[in-house]
Amino acid sequence: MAVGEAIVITSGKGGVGKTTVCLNIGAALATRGKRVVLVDTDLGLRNLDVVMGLEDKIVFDLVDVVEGRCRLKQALVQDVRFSGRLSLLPAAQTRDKDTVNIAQMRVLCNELRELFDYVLIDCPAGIEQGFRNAVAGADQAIVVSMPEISAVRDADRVIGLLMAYDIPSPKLVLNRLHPRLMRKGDMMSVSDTSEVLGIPLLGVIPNEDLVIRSGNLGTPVVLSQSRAAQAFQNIASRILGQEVPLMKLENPSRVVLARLFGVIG
Amino acid sequence: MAKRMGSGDVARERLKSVLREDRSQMTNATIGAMRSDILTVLSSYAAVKDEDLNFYMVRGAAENETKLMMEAMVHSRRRAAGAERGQGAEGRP
Repeated sequence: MAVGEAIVITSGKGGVGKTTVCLNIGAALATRGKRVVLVDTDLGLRNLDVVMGLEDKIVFDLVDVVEGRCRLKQALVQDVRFSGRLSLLPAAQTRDKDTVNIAQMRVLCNELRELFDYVLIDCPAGIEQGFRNAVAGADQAIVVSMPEISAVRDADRVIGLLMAYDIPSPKLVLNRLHPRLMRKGDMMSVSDTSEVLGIPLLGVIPNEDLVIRSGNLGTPVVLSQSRAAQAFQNIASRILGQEVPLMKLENPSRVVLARLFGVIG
Repeated sequence: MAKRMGSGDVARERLKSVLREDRSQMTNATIGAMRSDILTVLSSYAAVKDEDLNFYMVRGAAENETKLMMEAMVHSRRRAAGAERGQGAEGRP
């Protein structure tokens, strides 16, 4: 059997939407018939379960698996909305980041790759042990950022660190884009941001009220009819190797310029 | 730039300045001093205007590596003492 790909979703900075991006890329891949598992590696600050609306379904967690208190399959929570194709491996809520080590994470990711087409690892904020664990078992990385100085600065630092983990070519997802502010020149443009970071753009996600509402309800954005849902489907298509034009969020001249410079991923 | 600088443009310039420091692990003051020294050296060989010397800090292959890229627009060769010194420099091994 072919083994799946393990992709870590990371950002450095907290609050840029890693968890939402991780869930919705996974959900979009599941709607395309792929078997996907989302791994919450934020030990002590478990979040992915509530964003998915699966918080009541958890019996065992990642630490239980690593410490041998249950079998891997016992800890996996299936999301019935995706015909069993989307699963969650929840984080432990009561343990520290250093409960698990890099070698254990590698073993875990290898096991998950046998069972799924895509293993999406939701990385905690920061660049300490939690980051190192999350990155350890990954073959690829998606760096989530938004066009703000602090978020891009942290993303730049993380891109540098990923090289040390043999992930030399991470892809960028720019989240929380405000088209109105961009048109007014009050937000860094998509092309500026991706040029400064110097990594290929995997996708752009417009800021929409619906993303907040989806989080409140515990429903993936992908299940709605919205631009954000389309944006996540576009990212899934690109991961599956299809060429999809970047969603137009800025004014036309900027988009044309970006295309001229080959920024469109 | 004729167009009004939006706060997005200000953010981009501030970001570039911060990343220059982060990537090179040098302060902007140090980078500025280095730049001015390089400008002095270049000026003794060719006419280079301050605004025509650009520095870029690009991530290297390893975590602690930074590629410093420099781009200078050279207007014309000086015919005065500078040019002679330049020829002298070329003659050295």
